Amino acid sequence: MRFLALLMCLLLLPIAAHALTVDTPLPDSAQEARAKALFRDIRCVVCQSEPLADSPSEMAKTMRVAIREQIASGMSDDEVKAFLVSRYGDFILMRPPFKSSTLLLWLGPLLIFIAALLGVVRFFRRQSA
Amino acid sequence: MNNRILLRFAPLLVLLAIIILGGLGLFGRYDPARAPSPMTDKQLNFFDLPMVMGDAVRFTPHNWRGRVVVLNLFATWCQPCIIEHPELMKLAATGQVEIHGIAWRDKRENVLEWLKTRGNPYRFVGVDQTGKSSIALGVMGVPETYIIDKHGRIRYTYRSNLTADIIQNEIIPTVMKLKAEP
Repeated sequence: MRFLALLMCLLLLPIAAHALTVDTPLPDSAQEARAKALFRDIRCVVCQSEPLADSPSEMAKTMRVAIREQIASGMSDDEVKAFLVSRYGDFILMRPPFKSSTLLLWLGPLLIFIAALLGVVRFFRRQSA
Repeated sequence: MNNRILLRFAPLLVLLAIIILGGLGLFGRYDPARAPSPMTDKQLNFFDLPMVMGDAVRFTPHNWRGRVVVLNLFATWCQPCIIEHPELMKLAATGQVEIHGIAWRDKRENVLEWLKTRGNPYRFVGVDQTGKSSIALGVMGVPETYIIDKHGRIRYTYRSNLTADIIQNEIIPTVMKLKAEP
């Protein structure tokens, strides 16, 4: 009987160990929702094509804790982002900001589309002529 | 006539240009150890950490105010830090450089054990147990090394384990240059 009890305890052990590494959500659900939204917008600096929300890295975990603390201390979403950009640069944002150095990145596809459209128009004009 | 042929191949040339540009991004030499930091030339942010040696004094940038120092982030669980450690010992032995350490996401007893068995190249060591305060430094992982000038600004960042080569050609010359500055 005692053996069985011990076995049950051992079976539950992984759950306890897991609880230590899982993020603790903020008690205020509105704040927690804001934190969750921010985790989607911010890049993990270790696995750079993943947002913080999906990354299992220790660094991402640390950052999630830090961001939750900043939100709880009353910082706005923009203030949290500004803080991270000042430390890591624009690349920390999953969505690069629209500015002179990223103009080609944002408008490039549109330019290519317009050029292709002009090509198609030219082609059919010539066909019908 | 010549113009028309050129125009016909224009889309292909554009495609080629896109492929080359994309390829450069894909196969270009991106070195994570030298990932740029917006903190370069900016004031080191204030942090206040417990010292590994005990609680009598705190580990803050005030400990080296007015001096040029090397600030090294490490962790006892970090493999590259094991490789880096002998190089830090050699750097400390030159007596030319003052090194301070931050143990990142680490426990005091582990750090004490590490310093006892591998030697202590640091003047002071702070412990950032949760790792949160180091986000203010713009840390991307461990090991990472900064050089701080006399005015408390970060002037150099290296985001990988220091090697004999990096120490000879970058760390020591940078420290000497900054020491010569007013």
